Amino acid sequence: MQKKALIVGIDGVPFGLITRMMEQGHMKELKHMCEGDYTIHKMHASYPDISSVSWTSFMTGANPAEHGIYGFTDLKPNSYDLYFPNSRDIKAPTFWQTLQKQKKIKRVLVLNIPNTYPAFPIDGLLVSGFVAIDFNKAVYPTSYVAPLQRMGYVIDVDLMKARQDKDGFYQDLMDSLAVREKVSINLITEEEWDIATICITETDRLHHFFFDKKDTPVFHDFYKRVDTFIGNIYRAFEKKYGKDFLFLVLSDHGFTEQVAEVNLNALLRDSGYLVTDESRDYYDKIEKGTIAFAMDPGRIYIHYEKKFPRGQVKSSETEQIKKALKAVFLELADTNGTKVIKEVVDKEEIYKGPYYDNAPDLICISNEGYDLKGNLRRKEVFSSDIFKGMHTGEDATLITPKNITFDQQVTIENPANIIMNYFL
Amino acid sequence: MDHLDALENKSIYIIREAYYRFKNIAMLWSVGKDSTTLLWLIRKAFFGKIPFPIIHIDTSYKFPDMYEFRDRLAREWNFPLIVGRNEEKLAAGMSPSSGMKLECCTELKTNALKQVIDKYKFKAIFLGIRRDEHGIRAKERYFSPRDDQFQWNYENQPAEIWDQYKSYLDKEEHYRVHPILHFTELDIWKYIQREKLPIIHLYLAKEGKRYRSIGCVPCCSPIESSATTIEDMINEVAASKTSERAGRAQDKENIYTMQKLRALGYM
Repeated sequence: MQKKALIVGIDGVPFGLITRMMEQGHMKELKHMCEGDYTIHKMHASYPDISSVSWTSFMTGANPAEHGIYGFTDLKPNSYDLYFPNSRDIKAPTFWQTLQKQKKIKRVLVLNIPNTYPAFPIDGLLVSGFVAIDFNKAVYPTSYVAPLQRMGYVIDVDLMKARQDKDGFYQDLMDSLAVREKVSINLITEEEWDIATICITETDRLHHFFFDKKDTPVFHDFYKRVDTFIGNIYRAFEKKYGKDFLFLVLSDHGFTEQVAEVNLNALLRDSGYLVTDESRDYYDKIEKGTIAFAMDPGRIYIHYEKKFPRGQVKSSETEQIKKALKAVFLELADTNGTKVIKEVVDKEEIYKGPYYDNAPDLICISNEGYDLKGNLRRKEVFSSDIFKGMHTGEDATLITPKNITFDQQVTIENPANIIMNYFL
Repeated sequence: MDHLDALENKSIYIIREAYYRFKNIAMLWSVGKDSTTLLWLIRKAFFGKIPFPIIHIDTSYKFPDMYEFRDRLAREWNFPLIVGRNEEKLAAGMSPSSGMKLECCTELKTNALKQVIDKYKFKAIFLGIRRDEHGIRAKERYFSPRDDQFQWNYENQPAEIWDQYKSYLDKEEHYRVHPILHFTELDIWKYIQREKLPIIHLYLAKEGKRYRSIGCVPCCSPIESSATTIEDMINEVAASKTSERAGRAQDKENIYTMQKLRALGYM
């Protein structure tokens, strides 16, 4: 008999928070599952802990040096030209592509996973998640565009609304959950899938704008709704295929409350490592004399002569510069003396693969609450905006069948192997 | 028939067809060479009198010469001029500096035009775009529908064969009409030369540099050039291998991505 799998993504849901929501009775369905046939693990996100990178690691089971995605933004080779990596830039095969090639599975549903835009060919249906611009290019095959629109499907809520009307924004998130659930159940019920992968991204949006309300009904109600969503699609799948299928729930990163935004380029500028020409745009501002610069969130690039048009740093200076930069980052403290950066990770420690050269040279990991930013606009090291939450890397969530155990730390690259092993 | 006459005939046919179909029509005039050529063609189509308003979207960052040229021509050619400005965003300090180029274009150009269209309820707008300007413009139609969100669905456009134009629309749509779509950059300069049209002198070289395409001061870069007359320019454009809009900074395809990332605190 054909094996089946249902995978549910819950963007940005931290292990600690979801465990607490289960304990406090806000997530009865998941609690019931985790007391029965399933178990919950704490999982490490990708470096950096950004949705597009982490979900790509999930889809490919590979680290960024193998799949080529290091963030929502990147620079074109040997230039300061900003571009937005998307599905076309993913260099490694996804787990369903591998399984379909091996003829282990037929039709696959991939709904709302970030960094799948533009939608790419699949035997089944792929509906892109964040950042998807044109709905016509977000659906493969395009014959589904009209039916999805008729059902009122939306890729994402209007994020700008969070700035003007928070209550309305919250309601939009609830509405968006409802329509995503309706479409998911409809697709599961009406069509045949060997693997259905459905991602809930409303949680990440809630967290960005409401994380200060994590212990209030704002969160409790929302998590109840997410719990019902998961329970309903689980039952729809079970009703169709029986009890025996692989079921996974996972998040791509954790979240914590934001204390301040920390502008790493302002720090580098103040410390004399970054020189900019403000008459230019974005990363084209970077001038001769720059030793290093940052991109969102904590990606640090050394301004090598061989990699950048105005770069002057020689490869032989690497060790000395990394040491100096680490010192600058690790010394940074808030006005009350709290250290901002917990750890500076070297690319050698975390990346391995054919796209290693494109990797940031260092990754800064902050202490909880300090949201690292890589824009070149802000002049002050510390700033604030309307955001209440920030991503964390160490406490993503993974729920698996009980029989799956791990010898070492669970990472976002593991679920793809669990899925592939299941179908082999 | 002479090549320029053939181009002119086709444009005038489209201008008259559009005016016949949509009474509530206007023209978007950037004050640049293409839309000034279009303005001239419209004058010709209606025997010297322009029967509808001409819109200029003022970002407030245009070259001073452009304002002067705009007001002078409006006087001399005697047409009703609507100046559209996104006052709200200008008051809020929107500018192309501080790394906000993409949003700046959306707010001060696209949304300013949206406001004008909403206010005057225009059902169609004439634009002086040309197929050879940019890859995406090569896909344009003479009559090009936009939905209520201003979106152009370039994968689903009416066919325009044998000069049959789809010029009716649904309630929420408006049309962009492109009467000079078939002109090339070179045709424009030859036509300007033949018709002795006025142009802004920014196009002509001064101290070895000239602008090949003009818009807002902070977002336009001049090219190296010694073309001080239109004759020189025709020779230069004929020999040129780089794209005309290479000196323009914006890349619209990334605007929405940037906005969505900004909305979540990136960039």
